[in-house]
Amino acid sequence: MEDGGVDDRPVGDRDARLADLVETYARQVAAFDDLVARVRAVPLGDAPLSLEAEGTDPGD
Amino acid sequence: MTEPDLLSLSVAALGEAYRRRTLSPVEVVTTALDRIAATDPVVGAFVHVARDAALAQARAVEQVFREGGEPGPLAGLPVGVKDLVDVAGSPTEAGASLRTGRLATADAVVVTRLRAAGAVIVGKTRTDEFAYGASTPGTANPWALDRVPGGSSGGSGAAVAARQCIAAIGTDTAGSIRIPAALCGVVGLKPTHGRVPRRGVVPLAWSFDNVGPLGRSVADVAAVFDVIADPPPRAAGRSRLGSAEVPHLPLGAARIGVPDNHVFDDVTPAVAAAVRSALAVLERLGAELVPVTVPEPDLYEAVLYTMLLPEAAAYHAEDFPARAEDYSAQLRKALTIGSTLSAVDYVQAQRVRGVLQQAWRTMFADLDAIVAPTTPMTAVPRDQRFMAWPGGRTESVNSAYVRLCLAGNVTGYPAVSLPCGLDDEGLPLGLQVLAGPHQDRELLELVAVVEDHLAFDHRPPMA
Repeated sequence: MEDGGVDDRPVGDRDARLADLVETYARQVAAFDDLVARVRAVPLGDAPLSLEAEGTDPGD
Repeated sequence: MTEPDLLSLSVAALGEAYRRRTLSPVEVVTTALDRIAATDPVVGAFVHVARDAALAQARAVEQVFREGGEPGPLAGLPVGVKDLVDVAGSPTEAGASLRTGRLATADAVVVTRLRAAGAVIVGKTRTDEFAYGASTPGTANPWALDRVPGGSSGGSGAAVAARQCIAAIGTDTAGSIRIPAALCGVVGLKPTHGRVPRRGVVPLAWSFDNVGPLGRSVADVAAVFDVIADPPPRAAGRSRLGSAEVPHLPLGAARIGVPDNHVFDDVTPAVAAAVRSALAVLERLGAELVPVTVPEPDLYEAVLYTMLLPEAAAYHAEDFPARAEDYSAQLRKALTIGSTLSAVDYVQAQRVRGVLQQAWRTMFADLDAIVAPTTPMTAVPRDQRFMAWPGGRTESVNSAYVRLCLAGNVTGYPAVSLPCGLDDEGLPLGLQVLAGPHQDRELLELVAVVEDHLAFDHRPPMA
């Protein structure tokens, strides 16, 4: 079942499915948090402030 | 000549046959439309077929030939266009129920250029919802109908492989041209970011979105690229190999980077063997293989998604969450996460991107190309969701398919996928070759030589 669809399965099944969805969602959010944490961990002391200004845009 | 044989002709051979009057554009376009009608109930590559408009366009091209005129470099070429790209008079639904029936009133720039070159748009090809995915539900892989074609330009890859059209247009934000090219055994080019105009194309994330061609040979892809791309900026300079006018360059002077990290981690033995075999061919041709190290391999996915999701959320802000029920659960999650990210994180990801671009630019200062697999595995069964790698790591199929393509999108530099063999199940394997910024044409010339020597001449069972 996609979120928002009509589910005519027994309540126990739906609860289990919902718990699974919540867990999947939480896992994906945690995975995404990990990705953002990797960005935050990069030391950016001398890194460019603007792609265009620093000539790093491939469209230059 | 059988239907698939006729639609296996190259762009150059087709043009020559038209000019010698041994074939006519109406005959070829009719054959393409008939083949779509016959095979698409099984392949599902097209979501809209523009039969009347295509035949009218073919007749117009034929008339120009008949009057002794020159209709253009892609005259009478049947082309499929991903359903993210506006074709006037056809719907642009972007694989999304939210856009059902939404008619385009004008051509995207890329379609205007195709038409001006004489190409005939036969229809719109299937995509993942708003291009967010790598499996193209609803489209089968012509090599094995129970397998995914890759995505999100899976309709374009499958259509070219199934001989429903001779070339197609796709888009690539995280590998979406190269992945279906690899899985469907065709050639796909992700150009330098910005080289092909994106006006009239539904965006996923504009910092990474690219429009590019898929075809059955490097020459066909180059012919379409030449028509749809802007010229390189003057400051881009020339490749080490030299002139773009030389069609097939000797490889004796080429320096090819071979990563000693990242690109052979968690790939199937068949993928690793095919790429190593292609590298051996390059070496035999006189190219110098140079070990290189992919800088900061853990950062590409991080940078891409930290920018992609907020950009997607921004594009969809008018409709999401107001019309959340019209989005799939997968896209809803992505847009929700994208809406919650801070501006600081987005900007920092841009800066990290700049650092990575600079590192790759430095690598390319002394190299003509870098070689890697396009995907870690061939086409998986449609119901497979995860890959279990021998070391114990589990990875979603979508994450695995995009993993080796992300550097091309994060740097913005050009990358091409070309077929380099079949695995023991008879499924195509893709070789990815990347080059420095604006070296698109030089990259195509280099891989044309590789293509000659790999001699991939297999066809899917249905073609």
